[in-house]
Amino acid sequence: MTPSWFKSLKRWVENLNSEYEDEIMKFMKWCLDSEILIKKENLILLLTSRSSFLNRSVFSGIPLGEIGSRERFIPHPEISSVIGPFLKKAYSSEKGAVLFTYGRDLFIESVLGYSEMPRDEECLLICDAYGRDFGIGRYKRGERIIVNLLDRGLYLRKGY
Amino acid sequence: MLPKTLARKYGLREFMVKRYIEIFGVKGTKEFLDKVERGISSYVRVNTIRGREEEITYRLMEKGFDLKDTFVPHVYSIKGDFSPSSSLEYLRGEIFLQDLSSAYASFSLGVKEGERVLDMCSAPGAKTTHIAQLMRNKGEILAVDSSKTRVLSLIYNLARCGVRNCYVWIEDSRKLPSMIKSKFDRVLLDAPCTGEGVISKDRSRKLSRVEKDYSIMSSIQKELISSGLSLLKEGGILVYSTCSISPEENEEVISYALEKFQVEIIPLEFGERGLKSFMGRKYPREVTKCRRFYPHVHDTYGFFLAKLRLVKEVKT
Repeated sequence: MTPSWFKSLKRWVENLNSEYEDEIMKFMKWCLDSEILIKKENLILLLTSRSSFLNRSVFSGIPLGEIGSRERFIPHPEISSVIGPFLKKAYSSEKGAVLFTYGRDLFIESVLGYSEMPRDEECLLICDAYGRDFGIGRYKRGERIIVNLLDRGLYLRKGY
Repeated sequence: MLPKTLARKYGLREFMVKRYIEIFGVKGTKEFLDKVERGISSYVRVNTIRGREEEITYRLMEKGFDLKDTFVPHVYSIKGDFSPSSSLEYLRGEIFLQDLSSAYASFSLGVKEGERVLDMCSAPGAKTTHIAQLMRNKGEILAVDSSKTRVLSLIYNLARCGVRNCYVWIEDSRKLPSMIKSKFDRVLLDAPCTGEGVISKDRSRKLSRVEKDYSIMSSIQKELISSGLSLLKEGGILVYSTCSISPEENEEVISYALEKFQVEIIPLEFGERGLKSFMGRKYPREVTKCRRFYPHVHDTYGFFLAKLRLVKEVKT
């Protein structure tokens, strides 16, 4: 039986409006069936190794997000390292990338280029000119912005 | 009268100044306290899990940061117009803000790829992420800390730095020998302490401690080192460190380990020698192989470090 937290994750993936949504979900389902996608306390973790230490562990591997109130999936910045390969990329200027990590949206003027032209409302992996990813944003063609959905600035804003 | 005068001048408790005079002498104490007031240099460790060192340092220098090599590989002193913690490199986990002495502790552990390592008081994870880097994310690290709040910072630091070979437990490390049957190749014990060495960062420590805290912490540290040595394989290495310069928390704990366990101290290259005596207490000669770091001498936090090899395994 599919756990309820996996359904929350699925809803979040569907909302990405990615061309590769099916591939992402196939991968996630495979991870779930292989017991490497697990829930520990409220964290959703993708295990990268196995050990006898795992049983008592509160954390290991890559945190994909956490399950918040009303079973809502709240993504963690590291999810971009897992689903990033399935997303189209927007390459931003340094200034745009810095502002994006402050939680701001990305203006189209700051975008240096795309790996593939995105559809309207499609979610993109936001990278700098070196190809280093900083988060995920939703492309809004009419408004000429990429709306910030998730960024690495969370590490500072959350005070960790 | 001098301790009272200095205590008033620097806003410290008088007993602390008396202890500093015993360690440094009068001139050294003034230099120590002046440096504590001025603060020490900032250091960053380049996290090679996240990228190539040359590229990361180049990007930092492009942003105007001035980097200087230190005696610990991948660790640089850093100066700049803004804090490196607000840089993209920090957010991507390409750098970690870590004091030089602290990085020397994790470096001294001498980990190798594929080993089993125990980090006993691991939060917030500066040394844990460094160990993972030195192990190239291979092998396994069991990172333990008793504070749930601090473990949260550890988890986010591990995630930010791309550490993949670590298992985090919320547990009092003193209880570990009854919970774990297998032994470790290496153990890092960065013990909880009075934090006397980090006054330059945390000014509240100037007045927050009383004299009996040293003996309270010392007892806890002795229990922790016993636990760590019990979990070590024969020939295994334990590195003991504190961010305190108080001998009760350092030389006394190592003397205890020498007395109770079959261990030897491995000399380290950098730092001042451990103390032979303090306020009438004498320590075994071997304890001078331990290392001390001081703000006014090494431009680091006050720090203590000892590298021990377990000669004969403890039966549990």
